[in-house]
Amino acid sequence: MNIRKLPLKNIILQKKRTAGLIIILIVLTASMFGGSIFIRSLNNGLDSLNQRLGSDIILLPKDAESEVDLKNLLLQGTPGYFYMDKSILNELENIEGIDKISPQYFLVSANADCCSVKVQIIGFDEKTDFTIKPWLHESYDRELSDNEIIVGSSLSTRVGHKLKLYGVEFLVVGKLEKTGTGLDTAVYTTGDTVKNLIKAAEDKGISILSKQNPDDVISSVYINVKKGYDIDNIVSDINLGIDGVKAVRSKTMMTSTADRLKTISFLISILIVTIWVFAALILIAAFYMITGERKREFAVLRVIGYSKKALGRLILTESVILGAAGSVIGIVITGTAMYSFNILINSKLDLPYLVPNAISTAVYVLITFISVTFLGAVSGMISALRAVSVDTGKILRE
Amino acid sequence: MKYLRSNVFKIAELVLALVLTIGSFTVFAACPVGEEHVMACHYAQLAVTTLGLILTIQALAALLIGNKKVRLGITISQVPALVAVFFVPGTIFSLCMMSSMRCISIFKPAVRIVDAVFFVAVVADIVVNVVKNGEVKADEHKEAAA
Amino acid sequence: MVINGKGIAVSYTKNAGKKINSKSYALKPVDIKIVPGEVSFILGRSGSGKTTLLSVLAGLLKPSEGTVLYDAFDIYKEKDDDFSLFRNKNIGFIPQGQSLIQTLTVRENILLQARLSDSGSDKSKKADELINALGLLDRADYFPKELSGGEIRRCAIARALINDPKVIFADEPTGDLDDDNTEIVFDLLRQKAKEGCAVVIVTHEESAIRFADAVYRMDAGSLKLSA
Repeated sequence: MNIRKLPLKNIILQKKRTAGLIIILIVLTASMFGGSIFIRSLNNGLDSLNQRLGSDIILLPKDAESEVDLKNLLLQGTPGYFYMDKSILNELENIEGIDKISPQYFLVSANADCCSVKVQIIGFDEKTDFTIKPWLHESYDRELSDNEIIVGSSLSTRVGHKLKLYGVEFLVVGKLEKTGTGLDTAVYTTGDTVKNLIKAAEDKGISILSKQNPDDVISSVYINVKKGYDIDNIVSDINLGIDGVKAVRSKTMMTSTADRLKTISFLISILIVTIWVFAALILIAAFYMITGERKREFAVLRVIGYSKKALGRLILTESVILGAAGSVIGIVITGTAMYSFNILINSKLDLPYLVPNAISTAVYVLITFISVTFLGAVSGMISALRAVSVDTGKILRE
Repeated sequence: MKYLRSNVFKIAELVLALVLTIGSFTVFAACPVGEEHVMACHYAQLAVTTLGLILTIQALAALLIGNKKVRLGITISQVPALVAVFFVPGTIFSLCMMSSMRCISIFKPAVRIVDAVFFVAVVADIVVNVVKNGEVKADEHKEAAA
Repeated sequence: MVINGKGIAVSYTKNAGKKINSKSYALKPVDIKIVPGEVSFILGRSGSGKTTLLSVLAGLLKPSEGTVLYDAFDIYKEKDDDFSLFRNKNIGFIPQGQSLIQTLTVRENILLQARLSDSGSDKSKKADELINALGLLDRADYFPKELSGGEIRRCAIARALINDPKVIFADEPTGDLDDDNTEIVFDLLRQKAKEGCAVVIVTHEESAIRFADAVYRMDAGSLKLSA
């Protein structure tokens, strides 16, 4: 029998009381940890999307759907395709202030090897590319040969493995970093390999959703502006000077998404704060009520010689242990759920969603743990003050 | 109440085995079977269901049999099946091509979480059993001495 | 150790209607002296203020007036830490009703008071003696909720005696006990007095007077020494 073990014994042996308090603490932890990870993941997703678009201006064919299609591709991973004439690239040369230009060609496979889903195939020009290769997970410094591809992070294949599309095997030579967007499910390759793909599909008699030759058409152009030039001016220069295209400022395209995201983040923040305030009040009230119920127990401890300080310390120790235990359990449950099912959350959201890395997660874990344990300590402190403020004799008489 | 208390682990194991078995083709089923071809994923699901069924039978047997040593033996024999279940999705069987599909986004994490909880329950059960058996033996020694 | 209560009183202010600040006494001003080697009984009906007086004497209820001295030690002027330690070592208090810690076994409850100020001496043996003397041998590893009222009371008595206190306060110590156990407990307390302990027992059992060296009667907050 060790005096120091008394708080632990009280916690372990008073099962119902402990269970009730732990449940409140888990709710607190889950709302705080889960909520902040969620908000952070949304912001991460948008940041990475903005970065991965990687250009100042995106050029698309001037029809009503192309911008919507591109957004669907980015946000929901719905494969899409649209084309414009390749001669546009020459016209862009005439516009002043343009630094880099890189075209891409979109193709949608009707059927991939394993799964009955469409796969977005993006043909890019290796010589001019500045939006794809910088995001290769492992740097790959040579040029893509025939039938070599780079895949988005969501494709469950590895570098060195082969991916079969239309009965032809393509060697995976690179994998891109995760973005939390539709770009993760795409396959990236050169124009020549795209042509091989189309041919393979035709040989197999599979209907392919577009048959235009990547030698003649392109789907989008990524443009970077020279320093000192105003992006908006160049956007209007392009829109006025070149027929059949629409230039969009990359940032503008994502404005509505960013706005939506802000609203969601705001609502979730309010929700977290509300849950927190209520749960914190309930916790403090619970501790307070329990102290009321235990006043006779505390009086007995005083009788046998516990000082006010020692009694306060006992109550505080119990509440800190409970706070710590509750937050750890809450973090484990919430963390397991959020990290195991992050892909599911992402696909249900239609928003870029990228869970924080290990270091950021550790920071969130730490902040949550400290906050919840601290709240436990505060509740305990309030109870301790109540417990020591009454005369022992008065309680014994009751 | 006493029955529940002394069989709490066995009952939990049975429930988890049922969740794993039934869930594997309902709530967190891998993917719908296509008309044209059956995906690798589907076989992973079949494997989990089969292993889940074996685990269910084991759990049921452990619950119904009275002999303590046999019960312990059955529980220990659940360990390899549980390890196998953990590695079925993704490691033993390859799943689908894209991680956004049910197979990877739902089936794999759900199977692994249920399996992990199951594993912890079984290990705790074994440990508690071994400790208790030790205590019982010690008591017997005491009685024999007295 | 001589305990000297001088002019101790416990009052509270009534706040009923217009009669604000009318004073009402739970314990009217009283002088009392408790000496070592004696068993003092405080008799009286319930609600007469017996427990209040006992609490004031034991340092558990600060009186509104007066002082309580343990020899020259004015307990209500001491720091809480110091007096708590003093109480732990020198006072054995047996409260009325259930007074065990629910999460500790009988043996642990008894040892709790000893371990609080552990000066290195192992009290396990002493605990075993008390457990034996109070007939708790087969209950030593039981939790309070598994005990009868009488067993709980005997455990509280054992706890009060574990540190060999110089003063023992007992509030209805035989309330839940049968005749045999009542006898055992009073004998034990009598024995403690013989060893030099000051023993104060609050009870309403007139028959217990035969164990007493001094008998006080409490009536509506007033204390009288009876012959």
